[in-house]
Amino acid sequence: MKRSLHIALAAAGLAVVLTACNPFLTGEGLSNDPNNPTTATRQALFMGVQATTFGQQESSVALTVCMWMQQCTGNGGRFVEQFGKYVIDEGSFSFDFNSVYTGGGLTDIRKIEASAAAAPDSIFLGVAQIYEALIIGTAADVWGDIPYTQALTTSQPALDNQFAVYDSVQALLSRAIVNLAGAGAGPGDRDLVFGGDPAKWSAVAHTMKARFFLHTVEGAGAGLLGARTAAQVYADAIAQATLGISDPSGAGDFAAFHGQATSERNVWFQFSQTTFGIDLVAGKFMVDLMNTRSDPRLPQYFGQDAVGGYGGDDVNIGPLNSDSVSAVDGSRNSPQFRQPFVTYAENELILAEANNQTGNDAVALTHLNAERAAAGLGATAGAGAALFDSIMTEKYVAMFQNIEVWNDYRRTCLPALTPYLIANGASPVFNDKIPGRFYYGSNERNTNSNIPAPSAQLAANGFRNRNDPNACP
Amino acid sequence: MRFSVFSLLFLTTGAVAALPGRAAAQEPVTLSGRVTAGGQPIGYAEVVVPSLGLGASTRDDGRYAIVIPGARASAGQTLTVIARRLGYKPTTMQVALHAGVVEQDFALAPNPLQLGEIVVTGAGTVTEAQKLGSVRNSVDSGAIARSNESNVVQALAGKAPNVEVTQQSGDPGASSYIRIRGTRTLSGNGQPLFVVDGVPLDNSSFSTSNFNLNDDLGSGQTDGTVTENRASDLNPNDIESVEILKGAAAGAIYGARAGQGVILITTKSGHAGPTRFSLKSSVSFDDINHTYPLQTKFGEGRGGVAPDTTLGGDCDDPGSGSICSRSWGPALAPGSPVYDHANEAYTTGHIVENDLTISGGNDRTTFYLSGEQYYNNGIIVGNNDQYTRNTVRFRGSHRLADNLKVGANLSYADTRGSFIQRGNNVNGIQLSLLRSPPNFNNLPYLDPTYHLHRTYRFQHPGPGDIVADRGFDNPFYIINEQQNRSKVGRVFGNINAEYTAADWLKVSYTLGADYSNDERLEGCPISSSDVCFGGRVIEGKLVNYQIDHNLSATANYHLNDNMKGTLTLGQNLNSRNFRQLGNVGRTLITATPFKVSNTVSRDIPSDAQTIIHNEGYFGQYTLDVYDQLYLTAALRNDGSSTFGAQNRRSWFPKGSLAWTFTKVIGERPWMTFGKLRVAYGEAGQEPQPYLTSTTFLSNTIVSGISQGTGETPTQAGLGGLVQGGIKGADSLRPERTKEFETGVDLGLFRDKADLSLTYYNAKTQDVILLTPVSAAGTGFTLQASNAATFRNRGIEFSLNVRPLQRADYGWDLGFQWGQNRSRVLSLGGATFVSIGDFVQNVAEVGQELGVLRGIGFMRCGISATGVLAAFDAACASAPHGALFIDASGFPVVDNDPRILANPNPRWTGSVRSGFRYKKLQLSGLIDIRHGGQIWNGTKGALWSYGTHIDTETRGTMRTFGQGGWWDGAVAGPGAGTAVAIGESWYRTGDAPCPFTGVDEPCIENGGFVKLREVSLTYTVDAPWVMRTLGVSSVDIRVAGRNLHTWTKYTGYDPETSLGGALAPVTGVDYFNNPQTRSFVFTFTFNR
Repeated sequence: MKRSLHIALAAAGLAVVLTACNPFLTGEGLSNDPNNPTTATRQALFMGVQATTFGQQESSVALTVCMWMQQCTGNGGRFVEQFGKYVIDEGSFSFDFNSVYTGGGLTDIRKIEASAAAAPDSIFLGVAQIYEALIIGTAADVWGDIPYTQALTTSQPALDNQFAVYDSVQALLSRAIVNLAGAGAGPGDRDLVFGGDPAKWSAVAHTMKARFFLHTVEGAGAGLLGARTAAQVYADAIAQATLGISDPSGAGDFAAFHGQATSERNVWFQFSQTTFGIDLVAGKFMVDLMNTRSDPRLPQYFGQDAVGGYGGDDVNIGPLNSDSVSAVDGSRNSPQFRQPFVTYAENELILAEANNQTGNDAVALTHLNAERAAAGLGATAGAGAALFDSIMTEKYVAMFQNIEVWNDYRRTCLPALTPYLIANGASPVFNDKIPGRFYYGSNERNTNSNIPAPSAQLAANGFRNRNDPNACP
Repeated sequence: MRFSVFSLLFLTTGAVAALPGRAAAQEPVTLSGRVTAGGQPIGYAEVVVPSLGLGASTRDDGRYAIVIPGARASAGQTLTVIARRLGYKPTTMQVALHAGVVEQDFALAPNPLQLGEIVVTGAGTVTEAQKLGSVRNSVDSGAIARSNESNVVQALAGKAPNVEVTQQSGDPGASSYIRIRGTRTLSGNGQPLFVVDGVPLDNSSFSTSNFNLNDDLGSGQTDGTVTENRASDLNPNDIESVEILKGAAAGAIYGARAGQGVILITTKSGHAGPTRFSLKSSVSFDDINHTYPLQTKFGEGRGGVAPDTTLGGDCDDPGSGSICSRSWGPALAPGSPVYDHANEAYTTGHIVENDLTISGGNDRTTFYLSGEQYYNNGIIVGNNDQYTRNTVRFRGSHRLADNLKVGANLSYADTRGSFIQRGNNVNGIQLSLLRSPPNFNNLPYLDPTYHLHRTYRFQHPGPGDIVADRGFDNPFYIINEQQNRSKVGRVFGNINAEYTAADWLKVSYTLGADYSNDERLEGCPISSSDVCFGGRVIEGKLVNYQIDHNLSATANYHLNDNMKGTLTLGQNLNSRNFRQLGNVGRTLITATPFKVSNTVSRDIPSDAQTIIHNEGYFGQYTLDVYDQLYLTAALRNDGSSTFGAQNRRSWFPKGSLAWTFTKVIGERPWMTFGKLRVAYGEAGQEPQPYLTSTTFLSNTIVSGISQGTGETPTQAGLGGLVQGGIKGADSLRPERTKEFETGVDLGLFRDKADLSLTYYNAKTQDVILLTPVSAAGTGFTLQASNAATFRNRGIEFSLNVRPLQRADYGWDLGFQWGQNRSRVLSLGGATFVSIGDFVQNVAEVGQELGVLRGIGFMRCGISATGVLAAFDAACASAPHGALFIDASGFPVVDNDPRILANPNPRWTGSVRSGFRYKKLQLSGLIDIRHGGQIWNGTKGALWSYGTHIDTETRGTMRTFGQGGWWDGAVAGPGAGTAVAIGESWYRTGDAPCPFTGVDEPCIENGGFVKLREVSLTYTVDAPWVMRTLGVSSVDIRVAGRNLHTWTKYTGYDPETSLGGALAPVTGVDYFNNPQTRSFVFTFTFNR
């Protein structure tokens, strides 16, 4: 009797404990991440999009452009020097490619746009569309054909023709201009660039339209745009730039916001503070050019060298005495410097170039000298090809650290840079030419069968994008 | 009265030991006698009366005494009494009781085959060694003691085939990584489940750098300090035995947590009998086991030109003075001073350990009480390289009633570590130490004039340079001025009850808890460089709280004498709560203290919590047929909060068969025992928590060029979010390993040898990968999915030989050999997935797991054609793999990544030998890893810096493919051309892999043979010991640990792991701290 009681007790104990309750596996903090939100407002996402855009325009891509355009030079044998000597692979800019589409990029912009459209907040929508145009347009500049119409809709989106992407960007900017004239509260003080001022954004959109028109001019000249001629492209650029940024004070420039907090600082400045910062020095071509011009922007761009002057390094010449090489450490190299992306200077120089190329040298000169005056330079004269050279050289100096310098060089081959030669340690892959594009990111190539292998990318059109039919010398 | 060290202890503990059981109504009976083997007395043998649940253990003189209360004994009654001790065959005697003292001696025979030994098999189940259907690997307390390791995981090195243990470095408290039969998961850290006395033990690792997302971009384990693995909080002296459940067939009873194997640890407990005391005192002297090969012939500079190192010269501005950064200067004049950077930061470290154990009990109550003090001052000079551990443990049991026993097992550990940063880190010791030019004196590290931090790139800091970049921090500044601390308080233990409801039914219950609080500090002083510019403080806290409930009932059944067995049913509930909170403060306001509140700005706090709940039910059925055929079947059903909603529960079956075929064919002199075994099992690995959610992040870095750059979504005081990069997966299942294992265990030549051979084939499917997804297509870069399938198969062999076994002397030898081959069968569509945290280690379909996918040189038949015409032409007639040499006489970089190295060893093995002569014992263990390649980035960087010994022959003419310089076939226009190997190769050429990304020059063979352990023990138990010291015996031991390593590897040590127990892959060396060797002297006093 006693024995069976024991067994009964044991069985009852088991039965009680074995009766499990399901919330044990699915309660609070168990099946949902308790650490991070699962929804986000367009206001919060817009902050992330701005931070991402500022970062994109100031990090690896811009750094590499600075070196390839010989405004900067890489030293130190580490990745900076490697990038500078064109030693790149599909891993080099994989992160940058992804960031076009991932959080802070297109996926979040689309959420903002959807939310603004539903609100409705036409101004917020317009501002978001400008960010989309800048991110997508820049990606097309760098990688050429990119996924866009199928982006975020299918697991392996196809590549759009680069010219089609530019057309989409133009259409998007046109819609943005319309939306900015509409109603809505807009982003208000969450707009770190203009504090929500739709008029300033509208001017920026027009300047961007002019910029992206110019990116197709070489293709038009080569007959790649059907019946559309280079002259028509220039005319469109003039039309847009005429409505573009017109404030010489810089108050209308699309420039980054940066603060003193660590994660709000200008990325160029942040980089100069890292262990790799010393690897980036002034480029000899740029510094020599500015010395020749007695350019007042020298102390803005570069620090004085050890002997009190300005000097740069050059891969083709070899490492120079460090005493005569300036650091990329001018007055702009400060935490809060608002890196300019789309500016009055660019707008004026677009007008100058387009007028010069369509035979209106007098008008071109007016715009060039307007920009020079704003930069602290005296007026200049000239006509024809010489004026063209003056315009593009001034643009090269004015747009220091801007990715647009590479775009200008690829279509005009100005200023006349000597590519870093294989004999002097440059990558043997590019046949003594400055590379015309970047490889697609390895992550995308690994997951999207529409992306060609690196060797196929290398073989296509001399590793240049569609809008760049003619190689520079 | 003679002084006795234990007199006082007797007074205090005697009361406990003498606690009466139940008042006796009748005369008690004392059962006593002597247990011997080969004529020698055996201590620690257990003598038990199973029917009464009584027992005692023998003293060193072999004597035991069991007092049977009068109420439970009657004269004339015959009892079954069993004497047993690990390593001996249990001996059973029938003893007739009579009043007074009953003498019964036992003579035990050795039991090298461990037959009849009780083996813990997990979740409350036990069996006997010969009934096991899977291979048994157990490690006893003696083997742990002989290893002289303070970390129980490291103590398992070389103890079982295919159990690879890698210590992160020789830092005090450094973690050890254990891998059983190859890597089977990429989730978490891939470590086996640790279970102590039936309760899961947290063995996590966490790098303080991981609190700092800004500077580390999520890869904190490659810089900062070494990590600890939390199992090292255990006092190894408390461990009675360790059973290693390898593979799914053995571990399936633990279901979704057993995918990487299970380490079952049983702690020591008290035995009825006289109270025993043991005091162990140990001192160890440690030093670096291999100094780094550095050159001392050439000084600071570049291109053979020395910098101006005077005040205001080249070396006072690390921002522009890059000529100062390297040691490619002119040859140093004979007699000019050079500094020994390879040795100057190291000294002799030492360990002091004291461990006191008191145990005993009576027929109803047993207790075990221990305390340990462990102090290790590491080999790096100064006092910031330390580890201390203080532990206490109490384990007791009391029989409340004849059928109810309750127990408790509680331990407290106070663990404190102080570490030196290393790794990929300019604030770490190795980077700056090994890169220091030989003609620069790192001492004094403070400038004599202004008492400011001076370095070889900033040699004369002025009064305005308190906060200024130094290039690399001076190693002695790092050693003396940084503070990197961990302070852990931990309570671990359980309460348990065992209720014998009937002869055939036993119910066991264990409620266990594991609570630890780990406080971290990482402080860079005010004059630090780079990411620590202006000083930086990381303060963090980890709180880990785990409760485990395990209830099981085991029924024995007996159909007839030839058919019997057990049935076990049970339930397990487990809750794990892991909390982390960290703050990073930047720019110290004043030099001290290292508090976040003493900084100018703070990063976004690292604030995260994970909660995991598991609910499991299990059953196990065994059937013994004719005492020769043993059948086991088990089934577990697990639910976990980490499984996707669609797959909330999973089943894990297992089955095994063991057949003692010698019972049929009969024992032969040359084969006394033979067993065939076959087992199949399935076990899992639960997903990491919250992979099922898509979230938005506020603290992520959205862009940046390199480490230490980037923006957060929050700007200008306005809160921002970005969508996380990982897409939520709603239908995750646990990873599942299906493992088949078969083998044979043989006892040979009258038990003079035993041999075990095992083959296994494990297929792990549903392996969770953060699979890359098209960013352009999805807006994410990764998504967790049950995508991959891996295979691990291999062979394990162990052979123990006892050629000489006499009463006075004996000699035994053990060999272990294991081979594992992994293969990635599928990755759910991707060709490869990166799994490295520093270089491109990958899982790639068709390859072994963790191979290095890197950049090499163009080689014929391997590199793509159509890229370089000269290459295509040269390779037309060249052998496969020939190195292409262009007209310059140098190889050419192949820009297409390819598989360059395999870090997995070809096989591992060990040889153990022991020799005893009377009271003298000598033993040794050699640990072997054959093959396994290492990416030696340290070497590559030091080539670039011109400090590596290889750069001493700078300027020598070499021909690729000849004379020991890249021997092998070459082809191309420059083949056979001699070229100068110097700065143009080592610094500006392709050689320095970490800077060029060309991995091939840095691949090295990481195989080694290590003399892990040597120990010589002498036991003094002569009567004078008792008379003079008051103890029954003294063991005097002299031992060595890691005394010598034979290897071709040129770095500090092939046993190195940058990521430590955090890394799923090994084979990466980048400025990790060195390993140590030890000489250990131990005295153990027993009473």
